[in-house]
Amino acid sequence: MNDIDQVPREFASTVQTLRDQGESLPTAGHVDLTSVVDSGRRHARRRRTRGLAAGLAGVALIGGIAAALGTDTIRQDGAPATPEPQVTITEQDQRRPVTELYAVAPDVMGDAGIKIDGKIRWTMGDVPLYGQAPAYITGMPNSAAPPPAGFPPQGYPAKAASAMVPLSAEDALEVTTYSVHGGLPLEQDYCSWWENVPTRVPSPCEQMKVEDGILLRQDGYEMLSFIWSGGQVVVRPVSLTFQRVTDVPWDEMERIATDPRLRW
Amino acid sequence: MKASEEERFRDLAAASLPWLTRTATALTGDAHRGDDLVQEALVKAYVHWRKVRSADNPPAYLRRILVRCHLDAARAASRRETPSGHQLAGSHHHPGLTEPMAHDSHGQLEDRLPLLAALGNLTAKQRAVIVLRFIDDLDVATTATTLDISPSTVKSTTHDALRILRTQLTETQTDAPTWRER
Repeated sequence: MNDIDQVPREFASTVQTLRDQGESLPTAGHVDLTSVVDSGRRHARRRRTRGLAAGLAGVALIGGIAAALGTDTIRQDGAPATPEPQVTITEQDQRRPVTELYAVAPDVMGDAGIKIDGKIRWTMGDVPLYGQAPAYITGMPNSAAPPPAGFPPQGYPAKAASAMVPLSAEDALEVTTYSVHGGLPLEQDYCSWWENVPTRVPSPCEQMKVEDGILLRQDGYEMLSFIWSGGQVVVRPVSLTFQRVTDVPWDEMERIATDPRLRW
Repeated sequence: MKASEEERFRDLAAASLPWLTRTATALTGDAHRGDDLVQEALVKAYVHWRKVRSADNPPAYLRRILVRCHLDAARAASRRETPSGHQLAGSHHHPGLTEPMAHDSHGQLEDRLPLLAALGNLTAKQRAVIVLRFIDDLDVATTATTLDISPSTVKSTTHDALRILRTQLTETQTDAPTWRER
């Protein structure tokens, strides 16, 4: 155990304050062990898959070398046995009728965030928060990658660029596997611009599907809802406040965002 | 993972949740981010369960994962450009600090805020050292092991951090209106 005498006497009261106030910190949170185990299983499975892919790629490489040497080969073309993960957005997905909507709240950095597997995985930039369509998807805030070249397009706030981070292929796979929030219909000029962005992030102009893992977070800010409605993004503030909840049923989200009392 | 092992994991996680939550809240300064940190640490513990299970002290291993997650996140955040300037009307952001706590359902906010606000002025490493030593009440050697640094670094970091905290906490107490002033 730590002994208070191990620090100089001048700090004794500070240490005591730390200890006293530390005792009042919460010991009960909102972590759901079932969710932890589910996430753990998915991560473990992905690790195994990656390990297998790396092993197969190694075998393929050896096979390629062996082929070059004219010996028996395991795989003549030497190509990776497992293709790069790709995000596939089917036509059916794109046609999916959405009232698939979600209500998200801005996180502490002023962006709206959607949490997946306990992390904010996708955030909406500030542009929609100020009612200036089009909205766009930004990437993972934890990524250190810079914004893609050419961002933002002319006329868009510089601030948007700072939140714009491309996802890696692996991230995209995870998003595909676990949860991708609703697609954002964007203005045509923005979609055209996006197509020229050298990134593997799927265009936000494309429709993606929602499966699970959404958290709503309130943090006392105004809630905003983003609604796919006839090809338009409708952004409106919602004055309701929500407690932090997990796994909000889509029916409930739909109810929230289509409540006529919340229209502005 | 076998069902029996998963059960062991759940038992350890459930038993550790209270102190993990407290430590994570102190590290992040925010109950919600604390939850995120705990979740991230537990998922990692699940993935690396064999290592956790075979450790001499599994809870200590959990704590180590938690702190490493925190430091990694802080490191990543420091490399990231963050939006600033425009803010939602009516919201006053202090990233990771006061806003989320304002809606904390645990009460005692006024008691906690000075501590969390003061800790927010420390570097991630200083904060981790202070939290481990004086909130988790670990000794120097255990803190050093947890953070993978030397005991002398723990001591010097503690000293630097306490010097900052002493000023901060004193100022906070001076600024706060007393009962008589009201």
